[in-house]
Amino acid sequence: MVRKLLKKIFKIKDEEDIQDELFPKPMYITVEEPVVDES
Amino acid sequence: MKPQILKQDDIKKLLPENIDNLFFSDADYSMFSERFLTREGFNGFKKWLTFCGIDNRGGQNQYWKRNYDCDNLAESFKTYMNLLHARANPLTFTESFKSGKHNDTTAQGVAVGVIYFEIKAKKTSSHHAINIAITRGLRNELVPIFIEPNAAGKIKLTKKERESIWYVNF
Repeated sequence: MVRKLLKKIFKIKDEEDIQDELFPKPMYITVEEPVVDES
Repeated sequence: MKPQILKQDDIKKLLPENIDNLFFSDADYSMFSERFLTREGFNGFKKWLTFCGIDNRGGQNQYWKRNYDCDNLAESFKTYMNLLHARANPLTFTESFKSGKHNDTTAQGVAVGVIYFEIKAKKTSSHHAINIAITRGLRNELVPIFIEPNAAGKIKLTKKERESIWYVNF
């Protein structure tokens, strides 16, 4: 918590922040998974 | 919901006919949303280029350099989007088998390719490389979109330009 606050105040970016900026999580085109009827 | 997977033939149906050089380096492909390709992903791409020392110099050139020109930018965009796909699905087959965990998708690649086409002026003609991506349009139909990786993002090609495409590599 304190670490997060300090990072925000001093605008410090650690490796994780930099990686998140450089490599955003992609948004995929998705489809419904077929429902398997096991009856 | 899970990522949709396209086969090579699904992509072929969406391309202009009679392209002389059509290459697929993967067996199947997932797709990114248009919003991601043109906004969050595109912004990440520009930051990544800058991180690599390829700066936006503004003016007409933007990220273009004599030794890092349109083909390099288009290849980079394709590679970058595949990097994001690989990072989002980090488990190898063996890791997945041993742990019982699964990646979001088994698709080998993401449907982003490089194209070359002809730009004709009155007396001259030149060739240009940009990106093509398969995604879903406003009516939820599969569509190819064209992306200028040199800072512009999504662009439209004229009918003549689309017909002049002579190289596609997914």
